[in-house]
Amino acid sequence: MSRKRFLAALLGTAMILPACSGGGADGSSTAASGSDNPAKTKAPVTIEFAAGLDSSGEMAKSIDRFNKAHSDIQIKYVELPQVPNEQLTRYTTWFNSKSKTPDLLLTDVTWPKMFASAGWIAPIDEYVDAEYLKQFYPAAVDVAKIDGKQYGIQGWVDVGMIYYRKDLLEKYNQQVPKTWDELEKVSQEILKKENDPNLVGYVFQGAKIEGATINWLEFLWSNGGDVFDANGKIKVDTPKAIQAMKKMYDLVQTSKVSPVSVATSSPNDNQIVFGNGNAIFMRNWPNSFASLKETKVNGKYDVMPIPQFEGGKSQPSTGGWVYAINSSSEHKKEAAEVMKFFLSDAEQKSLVIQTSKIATNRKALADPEVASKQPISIKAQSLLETAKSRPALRAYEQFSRAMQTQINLALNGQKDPEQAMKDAQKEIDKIKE
Amino acid sequence: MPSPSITIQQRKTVSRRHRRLNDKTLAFLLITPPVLFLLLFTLYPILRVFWMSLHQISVSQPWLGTPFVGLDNYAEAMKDTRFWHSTGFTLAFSLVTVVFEIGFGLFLAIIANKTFPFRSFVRAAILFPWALPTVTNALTWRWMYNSDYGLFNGLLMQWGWIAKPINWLGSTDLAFIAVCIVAIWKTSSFMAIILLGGLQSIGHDIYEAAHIDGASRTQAFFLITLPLLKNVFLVALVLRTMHSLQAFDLMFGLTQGGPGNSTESLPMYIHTKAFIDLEWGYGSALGVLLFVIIFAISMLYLKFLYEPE
Repeated sequence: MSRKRFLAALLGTAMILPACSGGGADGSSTAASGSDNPAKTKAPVTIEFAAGLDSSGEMAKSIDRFNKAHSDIQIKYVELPQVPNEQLTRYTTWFNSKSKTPDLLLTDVTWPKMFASAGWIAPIDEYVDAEYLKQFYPAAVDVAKIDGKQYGIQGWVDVGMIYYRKDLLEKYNQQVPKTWDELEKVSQEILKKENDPNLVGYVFQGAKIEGATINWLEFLWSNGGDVFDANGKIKVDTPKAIQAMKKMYDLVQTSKVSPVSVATSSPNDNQIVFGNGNAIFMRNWPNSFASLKETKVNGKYDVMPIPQFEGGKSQPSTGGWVYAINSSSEHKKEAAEVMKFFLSDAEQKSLVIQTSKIATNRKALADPEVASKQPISIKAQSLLETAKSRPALRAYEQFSRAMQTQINLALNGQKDPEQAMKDAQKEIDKIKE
Repeated sequence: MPSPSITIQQRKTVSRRHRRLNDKTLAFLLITPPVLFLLLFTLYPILRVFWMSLHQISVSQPWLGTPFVGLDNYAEAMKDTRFWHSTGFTLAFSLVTVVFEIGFGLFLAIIANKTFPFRSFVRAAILFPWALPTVTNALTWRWMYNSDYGLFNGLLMQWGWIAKPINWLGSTDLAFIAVCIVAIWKTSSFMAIILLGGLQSIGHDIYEAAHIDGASRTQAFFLITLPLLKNVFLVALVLRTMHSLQAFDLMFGLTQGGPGNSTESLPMYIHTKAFIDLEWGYGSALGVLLFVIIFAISMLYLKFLYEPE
């Protein structure tokens, strides 16, 4: 008996609860019927834009500028965690359930192929033509060109560069090296003459992180090689790839120009060593240019392109974030408009000035005001013309992890470089494309 | 807003009902929300993982669908060298750390159980490593282990004990030891707290009686303290073993599983497969296997150590 009464009471509460909030629901329903009325102005389309937390605050300001200038489209910023893997989890959850939002999103440069082949992001060819795409650096466009279709455009770009100690090179009358062999020789020369036990030649990223793959790719590309064979299959046990690995290995294990600690180094570790004045050369990203001003080597460093092998071509790798449109979005056209706003000359210019990020829009990066406020932008310009995006693979993470593991083992001196590349190839062959 | 009359009416029903509730109904009512909560957020996900482990679910390849594959994922795991390697690492790591943690933990607990000045301060200090988040510990130690600017190399070189920096996290053996040291440093204090609780529950009279009977201190320790701590040991062992078999954050922060894959724990591998490669089916199967391992070890402990009082 009492149970029935309890159920009745529960039902009663359940009926009252919605009634409490009934006022709000009623209000919104009248508003909704109002918007059906063609006489009234159309409600603005809301574009949900998902992107990692932006600590500079520039993203929010940029969105504000858009929202103030537009009455038909309004951007809603969906802030994601800063860690890329956390963002990937969010995107996967949304796309796996065919969520209509976010409409526009920022993806890491290694994701477009995965997202496109899963049908998660839409081609943008109908919104951008070849003429429009010409304003951007080649790598920023190629990064999202998949099977002949354009799936997005990169918003800003990181590009690999070598930092070097201007003062030390001048002190010993050394030329800025153009090849890896020259870099090795210059380092040995200076190390010998400085005779400082704390000083090392060349530091780079060799820990088991994405950086190891990137550094190896730059060695490979500067050797005129690539990870794809003629049939588009990934091949990392080719002579050129082994040569690239061998050069990295030799720097650490044979000439010892690089300390063995590079096998546990992240970009941040390298920056600390270089910033303390303990390295002659360092491979890093553009953001170090500003950060190093706060260190001991302030005023003593400059940047140069990634060296090359004899007969090769310096090709730095890129990083950064790509604008793409959710294929389930109901407002793709408006989303494309928002994307174009972010990529416009004015917004890209503001991006460089406010955040010291490197814009992908050539005109914005070459702007005199930008050049005077962010000197790194001038240095990056020439590098960007030959810069290359990492290979577009559906299972990029798996490829990269196989590489990181083996590169790391070779640099530690625990594996022969040739064997490392062969073992990496074995791992890669297991990936189901 | 509801009309006030309804609310009053409702309140009357509630209070009338309240008077007639018997204990059984009340218990049922009180227990329902947590049970529902557990069913929804614990039992359902567990069953779902079992279900997923029997399917091929590759999230980034939606065109493959999610076909039922029976035990294929488990068969694949049996052939997967990385699964075996990470499992081997996890077991070795658990064995080494738990043994040392019990040793140091007991030592710390005995010290903390003595009466001396600043005892409460020392007790709090013992807890300190345990109170810090593991990731923070991992990053702090990574800094100290760093071969270029780390504390250890700095000291050793300053004292002239080593001529060249040691790459602590750069070789397979050293990295294993380095990871274990951080784990032992951190969790010995947890052991100490649990064992201290056990020590305090042993009455003084027993020791006094033993003393009168002529037992030495060593005898008292081995014949009184250890046997009476047995059940506390069991709790500590089961908890610590389960935790160390689940270890993820420490290796993730300290070595990222490197050099190579040498310090990759099974939970790290599961995370990689499920959340980076987005192979949910295979990742679930690995998760179930980890569950089986933990379950089997816990059962062994219970069989050999548990004595109902």
